[in-house]
Amino acid sequence: MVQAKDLEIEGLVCRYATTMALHGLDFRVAAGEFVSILGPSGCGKSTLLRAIAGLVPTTEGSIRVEGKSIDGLRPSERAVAFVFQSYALYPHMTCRANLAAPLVMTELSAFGRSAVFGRLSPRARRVQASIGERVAATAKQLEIDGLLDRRPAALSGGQRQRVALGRALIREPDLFLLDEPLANLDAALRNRTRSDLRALQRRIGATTLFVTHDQAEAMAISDRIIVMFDGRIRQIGTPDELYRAPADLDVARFLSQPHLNVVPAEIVRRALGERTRAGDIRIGGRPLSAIEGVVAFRPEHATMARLDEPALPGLRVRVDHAEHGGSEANLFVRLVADDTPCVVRIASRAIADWPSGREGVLHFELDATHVFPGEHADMGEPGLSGRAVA
Amino acid sequence: MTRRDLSRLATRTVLVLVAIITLMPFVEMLAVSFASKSEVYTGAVLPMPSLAATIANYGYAIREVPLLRYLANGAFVCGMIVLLQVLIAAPAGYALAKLPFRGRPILFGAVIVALMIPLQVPAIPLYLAIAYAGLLNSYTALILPFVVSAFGIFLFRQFFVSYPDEVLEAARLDGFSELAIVWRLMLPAARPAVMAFAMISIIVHWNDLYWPLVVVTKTSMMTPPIGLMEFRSSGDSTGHIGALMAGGVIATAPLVACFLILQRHLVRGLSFGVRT
Repeated sequence: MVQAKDLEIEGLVCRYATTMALHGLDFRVAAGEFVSILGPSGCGKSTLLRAIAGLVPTTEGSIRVEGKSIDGLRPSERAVAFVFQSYALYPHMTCRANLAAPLVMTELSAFGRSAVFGRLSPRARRVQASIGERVAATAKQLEIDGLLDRRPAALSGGQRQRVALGRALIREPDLFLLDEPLANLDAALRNRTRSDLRALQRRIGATTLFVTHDQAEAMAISDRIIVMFDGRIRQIGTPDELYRAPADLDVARFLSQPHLNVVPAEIVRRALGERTRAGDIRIGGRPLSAIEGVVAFRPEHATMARLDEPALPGLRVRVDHAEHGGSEANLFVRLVADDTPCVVRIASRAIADWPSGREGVLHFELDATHVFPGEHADMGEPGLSGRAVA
Repeated sequence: MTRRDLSRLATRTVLVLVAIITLMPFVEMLAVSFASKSEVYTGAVLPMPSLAATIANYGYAIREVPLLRYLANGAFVCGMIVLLQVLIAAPAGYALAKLPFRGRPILFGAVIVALMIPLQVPAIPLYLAIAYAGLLNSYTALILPFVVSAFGIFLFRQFFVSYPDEVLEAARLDGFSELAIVWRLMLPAARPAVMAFAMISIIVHWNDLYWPLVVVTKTSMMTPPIGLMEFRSSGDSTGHIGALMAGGVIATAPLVACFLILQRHLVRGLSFGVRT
């Protein structure tokens, strides 16, 4: 159990020779909190993590841990632990030496480290013994004690990941920085490891920043999520807040699987207004007649009805294809009105009812629908990095 | 016989011929060093060896010239050159490969240019500098001009550049200084390159005649090649062709032994790239 510390970032700017990587970030992470930084590749999330670790220089702003600025400190003086996507283990060293490296390099002098002099000095011998104990304890905690004499090349991905985690933990850091540590694991192992990781974080109580581009991963294990696009923070909130009230179309798109349905308000107005009085329908607190821009809803908030079913008014669509996903399936359709692609989550057993080319009516829950004025229904890269087109 | 067999046969024939042409002088040297003077002058391509002649030849070579002194000089000079070259080239190669700093491309360009300048170009100013410093006939004069090796810097830079950056970042977080990164991470990973470089450097400097000839006149400072030259031009060696060849064998043997031990690394090291 470590003494959890809080983290405060104020006006953080990272500027490189020609490009701006971070445009003035402000946020706080409470002591012991698990916060994910979520965003598409190239949004600056890894740069942010490296700036906190001191691995890249910052141009402006300050980083404070427990109220104390760590801006001027070298990476090794910052009491932060970093787990890299590639694990970054020292390839020619055994796991034992990998785990011991941060302690050996900070607690022993150059003399104490050397094979000859290290044995002569009683002080160096004491430190070495204490390092040995801590390596053993950390290895036991992560269940890698059987692997200590192997080299990284002889380990599986999951084992390497644990060694990397151990090397980070052994320093008893104030901050735990994880840069996509699960990205190189296969799917089954990834889900197990991510809950292990969260359990471990709860047990040791370290304040944690977790970088990922996988929204499901971030939603699953975070106390709060910071969503970044193009070096700026778009939204900070709990997974529930982000899901229910996305700040803008990019955030909403990023948090939708397989992608968000974005329909021009004009088409919605026409479709829903055909058979009801438009003034009665309100989306996001606005009357339908006053809505501009786009209307957005998730696949899980949409349903399909047959043309001959007497139901509420909806959007007329034609089925494109279906993708099976276990108990549920995604039905890909296009609006008859303007060919806008949409996705509807349906039960897998209903796939047979919707062959390619069949027409139907798409309904969506108005309570779970968002309105983004001033946006266009430009698809960008669905669900990945929809850019704001203002 | 298929066409592939034929082309393989042709390749091997050429290789064997080249090997024979390359090895002939050495075989001749060995054979003459084992034979008596009268046997050498019978005109046979390979003179008959005899134990008595062998003892006489090698004994003469070792007695008449300080061959062991030359060997010790050569070993010390080569060892120091290689050691200092690695000590300087490894950090320099690391900086050029992994540390972003202003002017790095220009410096790297300068290294490439230096690679193309033969020693003969700066030889006279170097000689003058050493002479003014009163360092002629010293180990310093034999070693100092070679401690900065453009080839070494270039080779290490090429090897280090593919080392994964995340490991370096991890090392900085773990408290490694930049020099500790070089000695504790980069060099162990680049062992094949270090071996190959050491081998090449030893071959070059062990066999170097030019520079020792410029700065050394005292017998006690001579390295094997210049020592052998002295031996040959000294009055009575012409009559002792067998002894002269024995000297050649003694001067070459350490190099051959060294090469046989390290050749595995030489091949690995020159096929660039770090295995992680």
